[in-house]
Amino acid sequence: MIRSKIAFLADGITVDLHTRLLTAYNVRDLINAASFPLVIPTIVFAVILERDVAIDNDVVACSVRILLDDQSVMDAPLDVKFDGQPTVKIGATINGVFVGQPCHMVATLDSDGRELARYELDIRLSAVPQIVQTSGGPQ
Amino acid sequence: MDLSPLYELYMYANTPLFMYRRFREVAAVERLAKDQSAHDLVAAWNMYACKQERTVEDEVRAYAALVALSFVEDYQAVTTALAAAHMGVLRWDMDIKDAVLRFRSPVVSVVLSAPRPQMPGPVFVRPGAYADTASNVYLIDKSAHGQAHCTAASSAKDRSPTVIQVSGK
Repeated sequence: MIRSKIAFLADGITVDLHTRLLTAYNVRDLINAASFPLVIPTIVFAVILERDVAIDNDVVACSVRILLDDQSVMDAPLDVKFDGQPTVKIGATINGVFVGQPCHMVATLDSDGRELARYELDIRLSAVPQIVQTSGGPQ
Repeated sequence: MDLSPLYELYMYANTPLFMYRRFREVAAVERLAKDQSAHDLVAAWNMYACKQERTVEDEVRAYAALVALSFVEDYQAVTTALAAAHMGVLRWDMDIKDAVLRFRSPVVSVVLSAPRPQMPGPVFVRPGAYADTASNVYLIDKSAHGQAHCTAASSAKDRSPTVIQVSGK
């Protein structure tokens, strides 16, 4: 049975050319926004899937879904090819997610009605920064 | 095959992973995988690694053949060929074999664009009137007197409305 070893949302990922090891930067467990509506320019949904080579198919038809407060805002098909190997690394870069208000964001990777991977985070309104007038400064 | 860059790397490599990575950066090793099959590379490994009176050059050639397997695309061919490889002969052979098998998982990369939702436009509300709308942006006529009442539709109730005072005409 295909299962995920890890799934997360991050600002970006890199894959080592020699080792194929995955490195993520700015893994998001929360997004603090100064105001709404908000457009998230780029966010990467990274998943490592593992399968049983003897049982599971080599190519799996999946779909990447993004939900904001249980409302689907994106559902894109994705064919995952294992190339005969037990694991595969997936990096889905998602551009321009429009967020109208503070909400709960869920990214999932589904296949044949089954959820293979899931990651959740909150998008919150951060405290409004205050401009403090100070005296002095360059003359 | 020019062994000099590999020989130098082999001399100062202090971990198997270091050696694996550096060997992969040598073009001659990648070329080996293009010129020979996985079966041939394993045969070369067996020949050089299992020599009775093995020299350092033999060890370098053996490791080069083993690392070259990481460039062979066909994973099944590599696993089948490696089943016939004599392991436990050189110090790092098991680690390099592990790297060859594990550090090759495919990467699926895709760029998706989230569709931009259709947002309701701003609603102009005259003072004293009621607006029932999905929009959370209200334009209030500031030239008129009286209080405007904005009742958001159910889909917009949990949003905080943005009220903009405009000159109504």
